[in-house]
Amino acid sequence: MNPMPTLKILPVLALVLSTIIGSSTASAQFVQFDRPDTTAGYLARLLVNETPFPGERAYESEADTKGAMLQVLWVLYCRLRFIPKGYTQKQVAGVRSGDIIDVITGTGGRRQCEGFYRNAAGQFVTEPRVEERLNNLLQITNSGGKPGRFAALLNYAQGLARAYVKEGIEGADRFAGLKRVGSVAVTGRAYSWMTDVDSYHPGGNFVNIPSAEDGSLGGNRFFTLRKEPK
Amino acid sequence: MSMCQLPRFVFPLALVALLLGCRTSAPPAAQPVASGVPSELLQPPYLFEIVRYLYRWDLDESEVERVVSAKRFVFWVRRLEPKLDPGDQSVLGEILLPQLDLSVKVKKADYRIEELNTAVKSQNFKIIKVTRGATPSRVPRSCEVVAVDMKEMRDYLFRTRNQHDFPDPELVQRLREALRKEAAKEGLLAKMQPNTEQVVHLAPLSPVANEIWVFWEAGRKLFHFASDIDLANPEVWRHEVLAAHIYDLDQQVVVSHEEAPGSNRFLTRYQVSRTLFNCLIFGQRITVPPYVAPGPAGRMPGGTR
Repeated sequence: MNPMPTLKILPVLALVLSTIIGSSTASAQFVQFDRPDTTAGYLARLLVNETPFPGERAYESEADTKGAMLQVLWVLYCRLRFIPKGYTQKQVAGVRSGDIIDVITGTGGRRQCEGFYRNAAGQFVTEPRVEERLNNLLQITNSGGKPGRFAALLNYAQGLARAYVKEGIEGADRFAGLKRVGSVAVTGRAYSWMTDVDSYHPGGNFVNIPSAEDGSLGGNRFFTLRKEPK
Repeated sequence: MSMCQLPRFVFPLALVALLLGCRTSAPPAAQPVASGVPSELLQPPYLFEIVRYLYRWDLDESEVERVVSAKRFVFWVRRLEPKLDPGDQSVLGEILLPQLDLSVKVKKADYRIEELNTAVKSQNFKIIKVTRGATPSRVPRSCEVVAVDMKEMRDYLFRTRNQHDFPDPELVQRLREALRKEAAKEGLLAKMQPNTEQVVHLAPLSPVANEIWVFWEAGRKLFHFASDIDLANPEVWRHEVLAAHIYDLDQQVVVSHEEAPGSNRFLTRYQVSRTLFNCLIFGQRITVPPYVAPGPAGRMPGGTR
């Protein structure tokens, strides 16, 4: 048998294989979640658990789900820091604590967020279904050939949680987890805004945050920065 | 004319004006409505189903008594236009019931989940949220008004109050598998004698809602399955996009939410009572056979009513 035809297709086969292997590696990196025993990982799980994803009944849009995640975080923060006059933290949050984990778990049988609690050893843990849902969402995320809405939502939740843990609520802006705008790698966060007219642009390394990422808010267009300056 | 006589004249005139202003017969389903409200939301048979859902799941006797003597039952219906994802063709609407101070948000889903290459498409508008106490005092300008004959609607509700709409056998089988899987996730089967047959009760379905409530007798749990995708669509079950909530009736029931303020963990005894009534009295009793490991002789047997 003439080996040449086989040899001829080897480079093609190698290219196909490398493409397949390469894409599967990339897909595994669409989303990286922190461990559940870290504050950022635990908080991110709560944000994901409390908000709808495509296909679920209350899903409206990516922007709506992201807005809901941010609002959930704000509720927790308000329970920690902005207790209204005339109320005690215990009345509003069910606990007295300066730790966001306690605000999430509550105390004793009065858990505040279903599925999130401290076990007998005092460790903050989740019901198995919380992790199961997250794993299912991760599986869906990575089943596509490129990052889509599931990746955007999961990355947003984790980015928001990490930003909060690192920098407090000031760091928890809705653009914290933004990694790309179209094909452009960006720093995340917003560094400029202008009246929302498409022809306006602050120039330089500023990148227009699209409406799908909630870049248009309150009559203003927000801008992030290129990760690699021009 | 004295002032005290005025209301006697004003009221009938106002009533005539109100009725003239109301749509008493809806346009044909295919006919567009100038306000942009999908005409299928204005059809009395659809609106009757909305009220039947509320009658079964939300309304209590004081609310029924409050409206039952009215001549007309009024709906304010509008299209909602939230900003959706690119390519999402879903349509959302809101049905306000001012006499009950209730609003019902509905959605006809029509979008794709790219990651799964799956279409999320509803055949008709499904309830996604019921809200109490949010009805404006006047009819919003964006609303179409539909007024139906109260007696006709009351007769319909009475006639259908015991009507049972159950899933077809295929959906029941998928439910069995989903229940077993959900219970396994929770570690419930290990505690609940996995080798014995389990009995569950499915509450009746509604043609205007994409949800199923299930009571697991021995496990003392309520399962709530809900989705944007029609439950009959196998894709729902294949990809587990469907959200299942499990309520432990020994741990998660309070008389009043005041007992655990701010917590999203609890159902009230009233809510649970109604759900149990719908599962046990109106519901379908099915069995979930013990799991048999797949193999040459292994299979997942079906259960019977």
